[in-house]
Amino acid sequence: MENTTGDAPSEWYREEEHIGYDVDGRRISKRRWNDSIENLLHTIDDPSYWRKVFDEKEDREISLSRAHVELIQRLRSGAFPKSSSSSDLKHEQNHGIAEVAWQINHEPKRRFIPSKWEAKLVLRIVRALRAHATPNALQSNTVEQKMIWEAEDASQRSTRDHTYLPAQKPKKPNHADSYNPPFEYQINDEDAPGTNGHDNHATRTLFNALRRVPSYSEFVVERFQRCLDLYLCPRVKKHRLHVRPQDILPPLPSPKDLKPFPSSNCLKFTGHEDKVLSIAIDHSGQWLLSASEDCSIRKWEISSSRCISVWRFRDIVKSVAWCPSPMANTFSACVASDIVLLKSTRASGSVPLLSSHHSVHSKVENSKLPEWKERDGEMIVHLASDVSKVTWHKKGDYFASFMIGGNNVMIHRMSRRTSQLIFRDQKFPIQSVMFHPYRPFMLICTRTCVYLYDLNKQSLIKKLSSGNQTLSCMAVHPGGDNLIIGTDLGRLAWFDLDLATSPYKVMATHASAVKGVAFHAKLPLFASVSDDATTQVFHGMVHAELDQNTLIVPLKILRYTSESNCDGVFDCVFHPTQPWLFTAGADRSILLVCDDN
Amino acid sequence: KVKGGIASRYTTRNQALNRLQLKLADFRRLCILKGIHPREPKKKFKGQHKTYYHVKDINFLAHEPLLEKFRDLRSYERKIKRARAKKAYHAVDRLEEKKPKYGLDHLVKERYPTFLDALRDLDDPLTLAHLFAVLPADKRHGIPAEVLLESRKLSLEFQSYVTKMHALRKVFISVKGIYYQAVVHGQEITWLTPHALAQTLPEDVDYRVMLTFLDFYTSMLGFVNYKLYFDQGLRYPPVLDTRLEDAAGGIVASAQAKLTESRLATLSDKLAQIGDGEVDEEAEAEAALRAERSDGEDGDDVEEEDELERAISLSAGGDPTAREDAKLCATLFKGMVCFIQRECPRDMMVFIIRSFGGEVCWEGEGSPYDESDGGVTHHVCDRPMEGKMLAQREYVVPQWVCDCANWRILIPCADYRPGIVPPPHLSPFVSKDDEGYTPDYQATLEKLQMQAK
Repeated sequence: MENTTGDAPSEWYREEEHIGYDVDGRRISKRRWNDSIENLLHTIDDPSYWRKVFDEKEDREISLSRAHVELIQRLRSGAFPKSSSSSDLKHEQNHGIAEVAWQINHEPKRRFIPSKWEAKLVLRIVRALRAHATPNALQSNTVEQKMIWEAEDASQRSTRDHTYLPAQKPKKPNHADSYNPPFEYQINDEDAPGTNGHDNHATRTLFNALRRVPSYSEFVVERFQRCLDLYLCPRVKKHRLHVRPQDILPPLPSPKDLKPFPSSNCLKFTGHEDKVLSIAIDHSGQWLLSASEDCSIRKWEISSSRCISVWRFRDIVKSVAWCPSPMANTFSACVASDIVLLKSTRASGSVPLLSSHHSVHSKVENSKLPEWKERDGEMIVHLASDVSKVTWHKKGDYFASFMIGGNNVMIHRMSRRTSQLIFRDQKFPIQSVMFHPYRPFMLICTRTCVYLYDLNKQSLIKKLSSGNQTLSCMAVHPGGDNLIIGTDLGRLAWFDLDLATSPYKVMATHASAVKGVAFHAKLPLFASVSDDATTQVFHGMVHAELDQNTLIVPLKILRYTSESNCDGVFDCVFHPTQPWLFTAGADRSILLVCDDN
Repeated sequence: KVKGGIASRYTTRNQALNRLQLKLADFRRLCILKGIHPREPKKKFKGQHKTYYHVKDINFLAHEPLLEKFRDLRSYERKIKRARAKKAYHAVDRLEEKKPKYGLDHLVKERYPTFLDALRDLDDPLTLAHLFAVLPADKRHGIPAEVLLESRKLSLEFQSYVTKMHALRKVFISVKGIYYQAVVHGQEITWLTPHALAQTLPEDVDYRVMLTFLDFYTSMLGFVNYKLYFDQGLRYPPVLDTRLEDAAGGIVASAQAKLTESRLATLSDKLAQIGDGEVDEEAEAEAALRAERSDGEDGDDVEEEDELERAISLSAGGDPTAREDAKLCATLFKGMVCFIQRECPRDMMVFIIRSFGGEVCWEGEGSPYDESDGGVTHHVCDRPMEGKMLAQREYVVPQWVCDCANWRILIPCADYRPGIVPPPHLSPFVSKDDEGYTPDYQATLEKLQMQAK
């Protein structure tokens, strides 16, 4: 039933049971509305429930159509309620202008008057056209390229030429930058990072196909860095010296001008059955002695290379040395813990030792003092421990003995048959001991450094060291002011005792440990022998004037000895007068190297 | 008191700013455009951490007409700002439209008085242009799309010139990108292009600086390209095949149109005409020209040979070894038709193969040949192709093309089959003396080179 409340406000009926009256004056009762539970059930059951709206005034439920919903949405979004269609237009015509006038914006006045700016523009174009020019406004946006370098002219120079510095070009890519680098350029994760700066992340991953190479994320950043370098980096012209390494070397005299020097092998002394460990030449230059691992000493005549005598021992002869006194005609040999002093005129044969038959009931171990024995012309000095080398004083009365790698040095006096221990328990193993040629000094070469002692005052004069290398052998210049030291790394260090405690020159000459060095007594020559089976001959001129430096020129590398079992050449000796060199090698032979003439 | 000496020859940056009455940003911009860089005085008289400029450089900046332009531009910017504040949007539009522009051609001429100077310094411009050609436009970083289009256009123009003149000499695929080296007018120009993949814009980069550089480089490249094209009698800008360009054609889209033969032909004719005063001769010459053109293949071949000869003499000059190398480069891939499969970088492959005298076809729009065409001799692909390989053509990975180009020989294709790991890709920029070491594969290639001779 329609309600008939008319214009009466609905709140008048809010408390009432009825709503309005019918024609007969009877109350029209209100419809009973669902309670909230029923509403809830409706929302679930009825899919179109959201369209239902309760009209309080009419007291009825209205179901909204699709058109109604659309209308509401348009109103809500602030749009014109009706979309413009033909039906709408018809509908609009029904309304008077007055009704919709409020909806229309007033057209501003400026839309009806001609634009001042346009007028100005037109005027400008017209003027330009009259002047037969294409006006700016009519020109297209495309930039017309033009030729700015008309003709190539070499004389055209920049105005800033005097200070202009072109930017440095970026570095060209290396093999390592390749997406597929060679194996040796590939950087693995195990390799320490940061070994080659910025490159390490570039080649971290390997790609076996081009399609797997990803986009390089640093590209923009790197270009930006380059841009910054171009305008923010100060540019400096650095004059780099392009010097070839050869040019830095001092001008050395040609070896031809430094003749004579030993250069070619001319005699070979064969006869030893094992490695020749040591050789010695007498002061006249006529006889050569050689000590070998086959427990024998041989005496050779140099001019004929004949073996004159052979002395056999029970043990390896470690070294042999002539007594420098011309009258003595004696030499010393080190066998086990004995020093044997023999006359060189003694007939060949076997030489008995003290250590062999005295070892059982000897008291020398306890007394520590050497025991002197004389037996038919030979003298034997029996020491407490092994001895490997003897060096003689120039006068031929004193000699020093020591063990290579040992800690003690003993001095013996032949005429009085006395011995004394002069250096005891040295800190570092001794490698070589030498008397100074004319001063009462003694040079002791240990593994680390060389000590120069004054024997009279019993004090240390100098300590020479050549870095952290292990020293192996030493030779003193006959002048007494210079010495050479060979090291285990194959280097030779030349010391000038007047100059400093560090080497004057270090020469990396040999591939392995230097075994022996020797000076020539008269000529400015020295030689070194090494385990790499080479013998190197040098010119070493010491000038008497102090203003001239010592001149060292490498002359010749001799490779006559063959290397056997990691041992090459053990010893070398110069002839006292001639430019001849004797070398004792591991190949059981002694070589005489002469000069060319 | 400043007397003669270092203090009078150098100024600090702040002194320079005061003198020029510029803000730092404008000063930097001007320095980039003018190519002015700080100096290192012998004695840093104002402190160790200051930036020093040469006084002459600053004077040089003070007389720059661009300085006045910058000042005008600043006051003009203020006008626009004021109009925007007043919400006078019509005025803003009008002002924006009429904003004064400045050209950089005088700077290009000033920094590079001769063309060779410009060619010598072309590495950085080309690399930056190639980078911006693939960057996305981004409003937040202030990278406008027009700049990107312009740099793409310029880099394509340069590439198509190199292709046309067979000037490419070295190619190297690195992790960072692809290095190219071309010889133009005897100058070695090396540039780096990123891989053909999407680029990301890092945040810690000042794009305004890069855009200022690009601004100068764009105008410089424009003039260089124009000069290069003009000297060859080619039309500039080159005509782009719009159909291919729409299909992201890249370098293949830039067709090389001759600068209408009539222009060059009639010029000489006109001169003759002026000399003789006879009109008939021109007609005769034209007729002869037309006949020659319709002659067919023989004429084409002759023309091609001529063009090749011209390209060689231009890039190599008189040097006989360079001439031989140029000739070898131009004819290395002659008679080869390469099909480029989808996964290979097409622009790169087309650029290399065409530069070295080969022909290319590809999958998709505009390809001159079909994939199944019988004339295809090489099939460039990067994926395993088991069971799909045809017997009458060689299957190679893209690295083969680069290695052949670098070593100037046709390397046997067996090692470069798709699906197996190819031999190492060696850098052609390494000289043996610098490295002091020769990889094994280089020795192999050198042996092949000796055999080819």
